[in-house]
Amino acid sequence: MNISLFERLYADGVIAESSLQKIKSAPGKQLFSLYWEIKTILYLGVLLLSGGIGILIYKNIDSIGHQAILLFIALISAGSFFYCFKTKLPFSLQKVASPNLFFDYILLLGCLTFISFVGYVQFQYHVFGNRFGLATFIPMMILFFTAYYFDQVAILSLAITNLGAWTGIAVTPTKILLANDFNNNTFIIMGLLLGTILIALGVLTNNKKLKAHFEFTYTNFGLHLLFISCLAAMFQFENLYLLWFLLLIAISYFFYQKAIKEKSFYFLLILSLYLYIGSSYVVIRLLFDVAKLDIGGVYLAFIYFIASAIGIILFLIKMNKKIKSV
Amino acid sequence: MIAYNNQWLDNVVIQEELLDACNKNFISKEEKETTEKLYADGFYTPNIFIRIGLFILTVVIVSFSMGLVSLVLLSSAKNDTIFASLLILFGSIAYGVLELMVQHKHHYKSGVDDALLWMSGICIVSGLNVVATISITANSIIIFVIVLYFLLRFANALMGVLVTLSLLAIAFLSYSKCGDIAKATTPFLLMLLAAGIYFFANNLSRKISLRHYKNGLILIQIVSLIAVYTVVNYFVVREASIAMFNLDLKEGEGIPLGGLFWFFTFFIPVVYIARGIQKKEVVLLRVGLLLVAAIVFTVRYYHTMLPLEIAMTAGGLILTAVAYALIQFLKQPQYGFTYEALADKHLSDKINIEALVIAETFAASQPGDNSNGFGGGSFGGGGASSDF
Repeated sequence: MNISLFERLYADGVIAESSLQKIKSAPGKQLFSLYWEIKTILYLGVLLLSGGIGILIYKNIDSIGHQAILLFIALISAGSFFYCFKTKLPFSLQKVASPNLFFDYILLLGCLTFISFVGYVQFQYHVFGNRFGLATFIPMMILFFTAYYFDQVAILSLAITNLGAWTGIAVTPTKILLANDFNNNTFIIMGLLLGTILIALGVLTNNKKLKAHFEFTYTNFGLHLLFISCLAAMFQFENLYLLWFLLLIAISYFFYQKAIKEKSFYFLLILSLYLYIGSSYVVIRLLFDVAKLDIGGVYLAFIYFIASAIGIILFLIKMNKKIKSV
Repeated sequence: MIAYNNQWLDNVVIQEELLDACNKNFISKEEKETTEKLYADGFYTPNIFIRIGLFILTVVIVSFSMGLVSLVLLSSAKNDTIFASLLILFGSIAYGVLELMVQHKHHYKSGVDDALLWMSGICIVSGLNVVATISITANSIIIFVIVLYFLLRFANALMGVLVTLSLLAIAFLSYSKCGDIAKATTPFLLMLLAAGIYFFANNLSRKISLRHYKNGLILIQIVSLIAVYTVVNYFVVREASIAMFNLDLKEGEGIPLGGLFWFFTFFIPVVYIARGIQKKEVVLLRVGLLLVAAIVFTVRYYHTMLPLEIAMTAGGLILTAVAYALIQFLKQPQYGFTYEALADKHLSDKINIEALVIAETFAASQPGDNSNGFGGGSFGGGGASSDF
């Protein structure tokens, strides 16, 4: 806080003396926060530890020491969960604050080591037989349970990622486009389904007030998956692209309403960009496939891109005003 | 020099302080609103997401206008000179529009101005390169002049990064040409230069008259601190000497003055962290911590002391223990340090960036076989690499 600024404001008579006193006696005024530094150290610690354990298992899978390793993993996992059960705040369906930032990452470590443990046991002893689905299903359930029981958004994201893996779809930001095969028809349908389910879960979470602050995480994963699958469907089922474009418009309209209601600039930007890609595809198809233009079409396409971009700029500027004034 | 209204820039800072104070319940909402009216600014600064959208769309507009014009002009004859003049012309037009937007429409961090700034710089530099063969040194000088002007005129913080890098590039390229002794002393010269830039920027950032350049100066300090380390890091010196100066080394053979460079490799991050803690300077401290990772990589590149998995597991245990100890130690603030977050809600909270990073880096490896609609096969989630 800039004390001299507020002293000046006080001298000008715009803020009350009590306010100035509060600012002057503010705790943390002279404190230096190591919050992000410690958080990063913890993140790296857990990342290295879980990664190291992963390789450790991989390299020793048939060696004599593997039972010792199994015990080591089980101990880390049990220790982490023990700490978390001991220090956690009472459960509630509302938002529960985390006791401290160490807690969050230790819980993450506990989950990750537990999943490694389950996977290792499955690999070595085939507890679930050949039902590989079960080997991803169980970690997923553990993650969902942990996310809700300890109120952890980060673990919920992991659980949703695992839900995606269980259905065969990569949903994390860098993999959603690279690791998925959007030329595969069943894949696109699965993507649309999973996206819809995630958004429905988001709506449910919000309406039933079951950890309402989890809503954004569900919606965000669902939003991108649904839009990308819908665009993929447009490109894949070529003859029906106008039909899929209608669906794209419908999804965009849904999120437009949501953006206005929740004053979310983020949703607004995302839907504008996806819709822009979809409509540009339709325009190009109309120009070259339907109207069968050649070089004239290229000129028209260029003019379309310039004009439409100006149009969207004006739209975004208008929406910025509208959302701010709501 | 600066293109923006100084009073308004000051008011933007005041508004941020007011918002901060209001969020912490130090001042009431009414106080905030009446004060804000007294210190209003006339800038057009939309929400950050709108800014991103406007940036992308402005880039689209400029690129396609350029494409359209070159399509018309170049359809008959392909000519480098025409294309180059077109690029330079577009760069200049983008700059002109930028000035108009800033002066008359009062755009400030709107996305439109950011996009025009970058496009104009890129167009002019690439236009010059198309029309004539320019050496890397000359290019660095051209870029330095342009980005320095942009930094001074528009106070765009990212330009600070480019200013520092281009200045170091000029020094490196021109000095290392001056014979063998110059080559051998290049790391030291660059280190001194980078350190000089750091102290200079550090000094300037305390000047009240330069308050609007604060962010740019912070970035200059960060880049120069990293540069001080990079140019004398053992790995960089060894591999750069081999690649650029044709130093003939056998596998595992050391470089001249190797001990000194190893000393710097370990010593500089420690100095940064110590000074950062002592002076409570966040830039020094964070750059120092970042460079600890560089120490680890440098050492591991030349000496495999432990198998990777043991090193990772042990390192992870140590880091986790250090964090735990720090949190226990700072339960009550010590020597003015705390582990509580003092800053308020940031943008990153709004879209859950932390959760996304965790999902991204710890996610289970993705199944390849999709035959039955269910991905089977791989397990993990332990961050283990694929095909487990």
